[in-house]
Amino acid sequence: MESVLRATAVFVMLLIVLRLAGRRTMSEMTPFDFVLLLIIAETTQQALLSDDPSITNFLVVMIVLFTLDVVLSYVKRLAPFIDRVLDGVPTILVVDSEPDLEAMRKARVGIDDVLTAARQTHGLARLDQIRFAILESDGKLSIIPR
Amino acid sequence: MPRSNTNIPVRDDGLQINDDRRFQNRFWIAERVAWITFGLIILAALAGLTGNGGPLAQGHRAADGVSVSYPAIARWRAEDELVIRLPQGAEERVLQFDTRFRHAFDVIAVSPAPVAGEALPDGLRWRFPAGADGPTEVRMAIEPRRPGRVAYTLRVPPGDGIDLWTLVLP
Repeated sequence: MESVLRATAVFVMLLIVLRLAGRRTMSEMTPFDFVLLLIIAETTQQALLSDDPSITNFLVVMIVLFTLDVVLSYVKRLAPFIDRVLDGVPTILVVDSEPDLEAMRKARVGIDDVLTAARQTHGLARLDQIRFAILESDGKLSIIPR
Repeated sequence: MPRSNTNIPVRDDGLQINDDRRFQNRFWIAERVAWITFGLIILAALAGLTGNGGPLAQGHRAADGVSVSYPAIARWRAEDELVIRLPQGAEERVLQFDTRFRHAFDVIAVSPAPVAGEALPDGLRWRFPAGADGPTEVRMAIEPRRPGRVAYTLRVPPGDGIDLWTLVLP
């Protein structure tokens, strides 16, 4: 029983903290983010498995996590508001080469990030070649050229 | 799971997207509130409110010349320390905890080693040598067995009991 409660609690807490930490944290993988991810993975593993390294415990925890994921996907489908809360919505950052500076500041995305994505995905050289730049709900930057 | 795309609006500029700036603005506010909360949790942890050290994690009580430093806030299944300071004396020193302590904690180690340790119907008892060999400070490594608030009593005869409590965080 404890394994189920523990796995559920860890899943919910990770979901809340990662979501509230902001999606940019999840998308832009700097070396520091990589270190952060490793540390979170390590501490999560200890919190999930506690001092019970048995295969039974691993099996129960794994099944609980996958089941929660499946249940959550159905909940999100049935309740669009929960879907938006958990996954977020896309944010339009640039329209017709005009950056929405307030949205960019709040989303913690700089012009540099937009230009980098424009170069990488479309080989664009300048901001005036970008029609739309969208911060997707998964944290990636989509660029639509003019 | 793919979302239904039948209700996704097309903007005047031709972009078909399910953005919701009102929701996003509210979420950004929630994010900032959460960051402040994260900061407060860190400050609370530094102060000891989440156990594992810090000024507020440790409780202190004293009576009849005996003083006790005990974990006021502890973590479930995490080792913590209870320090009992005894007055100098010629008699044998005895530490006795009630059954609530026995049910709430595992005693991992007692330092210095007692002459005898006994499980009694009404608790646990440790005896230490009398005279100059007797310790003036006893350290006990303890581990909470379950989360919740635990109240218990330490008795160092001939003194009265010292009431202690520990909040065990999950």
